[in-house]
Amino acid sequence: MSPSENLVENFADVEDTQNPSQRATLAEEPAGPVNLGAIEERLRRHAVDFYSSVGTAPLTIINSGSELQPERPREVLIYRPKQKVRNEALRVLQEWEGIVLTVSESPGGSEDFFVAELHDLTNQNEAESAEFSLDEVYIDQRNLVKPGAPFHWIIGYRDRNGTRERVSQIVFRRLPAWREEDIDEAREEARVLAESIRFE
Amino acid sequence: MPSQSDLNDYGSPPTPDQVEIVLLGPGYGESVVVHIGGGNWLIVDSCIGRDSETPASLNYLHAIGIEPNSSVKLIVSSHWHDDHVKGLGQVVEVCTSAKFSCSTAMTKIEFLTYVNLHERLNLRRATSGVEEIKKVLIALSNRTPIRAIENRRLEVFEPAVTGHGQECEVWSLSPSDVQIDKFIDEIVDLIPKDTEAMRRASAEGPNHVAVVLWIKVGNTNILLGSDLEETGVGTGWSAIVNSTARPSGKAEVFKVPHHGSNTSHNNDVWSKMIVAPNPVAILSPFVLGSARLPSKDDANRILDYTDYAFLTSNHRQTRRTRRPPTVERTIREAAKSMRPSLSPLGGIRLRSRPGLSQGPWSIECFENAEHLSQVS
Repeated sequence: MSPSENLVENFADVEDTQNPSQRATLAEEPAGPVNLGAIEERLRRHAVDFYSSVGTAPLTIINSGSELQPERPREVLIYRPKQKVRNEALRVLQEWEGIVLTVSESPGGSEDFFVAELHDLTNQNEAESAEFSLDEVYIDQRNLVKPGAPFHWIIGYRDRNGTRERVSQIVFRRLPAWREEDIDEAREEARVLAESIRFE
Repeated sequence: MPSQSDLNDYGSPPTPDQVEIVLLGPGYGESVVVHIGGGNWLIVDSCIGRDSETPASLNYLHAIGIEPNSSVKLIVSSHWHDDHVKGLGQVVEVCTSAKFSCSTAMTKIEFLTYVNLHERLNLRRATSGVEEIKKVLIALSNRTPIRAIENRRLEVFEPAVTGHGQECEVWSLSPSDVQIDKFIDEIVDLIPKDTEAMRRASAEGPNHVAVVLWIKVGNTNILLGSDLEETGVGTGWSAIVNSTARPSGKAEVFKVPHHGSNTSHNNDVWSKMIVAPNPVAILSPFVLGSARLPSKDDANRILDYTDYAFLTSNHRQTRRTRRPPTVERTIREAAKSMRPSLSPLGGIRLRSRPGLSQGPWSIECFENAEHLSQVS
């Protein structure tokens, strides 16, 4: 059987793809005599119509004849997801600036927790201290939970697509690393300050 | 200036011939205010009470009608930990007639490097003691501080100025050179390395360089233990007790070190440096998360030495600010526990006339201060 006779084709489902998010594929059809010219023309018309509507360059049209590959042709991917308008807002009810004071880790990690000093950013109330399970921290941030590490704890409502959920977020600040220049500069300032202090 | 709410009813000032010791503590932090006689005052360390922005020591002096700028003659910073330095910069700024004393450890380049690095962290409210220390040290470049080291007389007040006709001496009993070297070694390890993420400074490790003070007014002695812990032979309290160069005598009043912790306890201090029976012991608590000092065991241990033991604040009575129901519900779900860092400022005041051996000391408790037996 010639390669052209093995051409996978069937555009019955392509005709339904007025919606750009639909995927057009070349479906298999039982082997047998086929009208390559008609199929190719339908493919070409479809591709031109679709890409005209979205304004992008067309895919390479697989030609008949010697350019046909004996293997199964690739899928023609014309998927373009619909742009969704994000409708989400976080309404903050209470926010603290926190500093990790101690971290306690148990064997097996079942009771890991940290103690933090909290400063009320919403109402400027007195400082508080709190104990949190490490489970309250998103897993990708747990390596940041160390004594002295600053974080924000936010309580509020998240409104998203017509629904509301109450949230508690502990977010650690990814602070820059100290640089050697910072340390050298601090050391030089220290030297100047130390020399300015004269004990009796 | 303190606000009206800062001015608790502390009554009238001591008479010129009275010695007065006031320990102030809001549950995290402490400050000691001492009247040695004749209107001459000392301030040791600094803390800020809940709902206040001015140092507790200045608020106390204003409350009893004393002007700190002319009356305070000596300020001592016993060490750099956050709970002992809050508001210290303001105290130094206001008390323009006062000399200042601290350990030389706080002026070593290694420590200042540590301070300089950590003050760069731009936090909105969660600042640490290093910012306060920096303010104090910058102010010192215009003054001549007194070096507090072991067995050094920091200040003397002649009988003519003390109001009771007794000479007063203020001595530092620590730190030793060994302790300062140990401290520097630890600080060097705490200095961040390059590529290490920035974090706020946190006090770690034992207090090697806390300044212990011995105040001698005639035959009356007072031992202020700061936060010095027992760290082994040749350091900590062992070094002080065994020193042959320290002032002689026994103290009638003991400010128990490090919030009564067992790491600061040394039997020989009680037997060799404190009168018996029944000296007056005063201390402030320390609460951080679930850690609480003094524990019930600590309290019982101290009560074995004296019936007159008092604590500036009791956290049992502390309630945190209530927030809207939604926030409270979420706090209960997210946090294992939450409590205010500070309780209302408590104070213990002792007064006596020097020259009367072993008291009597009058003892007054203000706000949440109470007898140590109430610790649970």
